[in-house]
Amino acid sequence: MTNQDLGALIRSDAVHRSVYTDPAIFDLEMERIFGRTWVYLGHTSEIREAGDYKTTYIGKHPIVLSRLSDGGVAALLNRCRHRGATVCQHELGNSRFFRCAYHGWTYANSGRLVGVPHPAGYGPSFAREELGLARLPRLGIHRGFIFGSLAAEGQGLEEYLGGTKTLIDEFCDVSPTGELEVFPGYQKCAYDGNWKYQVENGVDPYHVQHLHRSTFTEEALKIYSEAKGLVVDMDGHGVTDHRDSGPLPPDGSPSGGFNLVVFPNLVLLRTQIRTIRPISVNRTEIYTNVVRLQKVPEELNIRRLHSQQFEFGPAGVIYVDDLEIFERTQGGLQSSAVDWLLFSRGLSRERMHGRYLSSAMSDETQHRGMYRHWKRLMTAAPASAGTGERAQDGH
Amino acid sequence: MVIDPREIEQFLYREARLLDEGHFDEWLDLFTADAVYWLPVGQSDTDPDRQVSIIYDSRHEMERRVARLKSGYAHAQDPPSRTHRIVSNVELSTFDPGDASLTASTVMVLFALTRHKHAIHSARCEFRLLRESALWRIARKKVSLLRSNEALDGIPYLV
Repeated sequence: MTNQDLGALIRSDAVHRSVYTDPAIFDLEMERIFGRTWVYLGHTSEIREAGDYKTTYIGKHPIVLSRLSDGGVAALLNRCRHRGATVCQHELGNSRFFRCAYHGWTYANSGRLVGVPHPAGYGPSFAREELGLARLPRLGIHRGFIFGSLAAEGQGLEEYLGGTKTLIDEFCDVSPTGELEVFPGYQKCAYDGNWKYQVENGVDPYHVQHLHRSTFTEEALKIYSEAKGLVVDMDGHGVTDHRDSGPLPPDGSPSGGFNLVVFPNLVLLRTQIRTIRPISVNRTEIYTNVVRLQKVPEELNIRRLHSQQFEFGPAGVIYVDDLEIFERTQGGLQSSAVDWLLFSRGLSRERMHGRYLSSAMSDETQHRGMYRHWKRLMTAAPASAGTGERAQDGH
Repeated sequence: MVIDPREIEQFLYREARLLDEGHFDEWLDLFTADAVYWLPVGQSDTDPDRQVSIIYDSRHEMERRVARLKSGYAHAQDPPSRTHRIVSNVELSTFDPGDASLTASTVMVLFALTRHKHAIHSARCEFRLLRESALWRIARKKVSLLRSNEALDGIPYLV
């Protein structure tokens, strides 16, 4: 598929169905989006102490994030350099070493290869220092949000986040200390559908009063009325901005603030850090953390936790209908008789508000922005040949 | 008070059948006014105020869940899932006359068909039962799914 073919799938007002259904396009997304850009990996509060680790993924690459004794964070490929087995099996834990169970190769949590049984068998030229766990070429942390990139070169994290940095800051500043923690445990969901449905749905005020009519009160729906708020294309990321109704409320109620999708895999809304994990063109997993605030009355954190788990997660009264509609969409898109999905709402009334193209609350400016971003990434040449999908050797 | 285990078993089967048959109000009637309905994420979770759960409902939230199912807008239940629950391995604690309670542990296997999608859940369940005016009521229902910490497809039906 040529770049021209890929580019033709995104029109200014529509997206072609194959973007959600073609396995070849999914494979290219893993290479050109998840393999090149910044991907959210985890929150620093998940790996607070020296030796703490968390396993996660960038696309299909298994990753270990570990907290080093000097306080730094390492992001390593969870893959033994000998025969390829994963070396860390748990979701979260604490260890200074990762030992492959197969032949006993042992790595420090920095990735350095520290033990090889019977090394003499490899002869005198064995370069142990070059056989550490492969390290992600780039790691960036903004206000506790850890991002990694499989590409050695390209836009820096700060530049990539653009205007969303300020929103991430606001999300953190709901906590009186400016620091967030996450409650232990994830709400983990899965659906038979493409990962981009969650990207779109994370910033889609238009659907709320229809799909979630069984749950939202009239009062709560007021912030989704057309007269208020904005949808924003913020440097290729999606924002729905309801701050005219008030800042992000500490209790997590849907009464103000904003929803933010940092393309491609991070959703911040209310009390949640949602991570999107694409499994295949028609299978996606969603891991959600609930955020704890520091130095607030415990009752407030308990309220945040309880309201989010009533509404979200695999049995949440709101989220079950989102999961359902993602699967119905994948079902409908199996038909090749109609090619295009419409993203034209607000095209005639969107305007620049400050630096960003914005429009009324029920419009689709934010979606169009993210698909322009998709198109740029999918049709771009790698930053430098050969570094696109290859992690560096760790030391 | 001497407890006939068959009476408790019949009660637990009825709880399962009311859900299978979609009799949600009758199901709610089995619970006390301060009941708790809990699906933890971690197998060793003990504190739903400090650990993320799949469900941790008070009676009020259970009623909201049921109201949603009956609202006509619960899209993920259009058409409604059909479910079969097998309740087995029933073990009872001794009856505590102090607060007229006992604990029943079970293994529950749930088959759910939602449109054409078939799901199987296995769970260890724990019921705290209270004897109130010659009837049993559920004060606490805890369902520990075998796959509680896996990425789960939507569970739009009551478990």
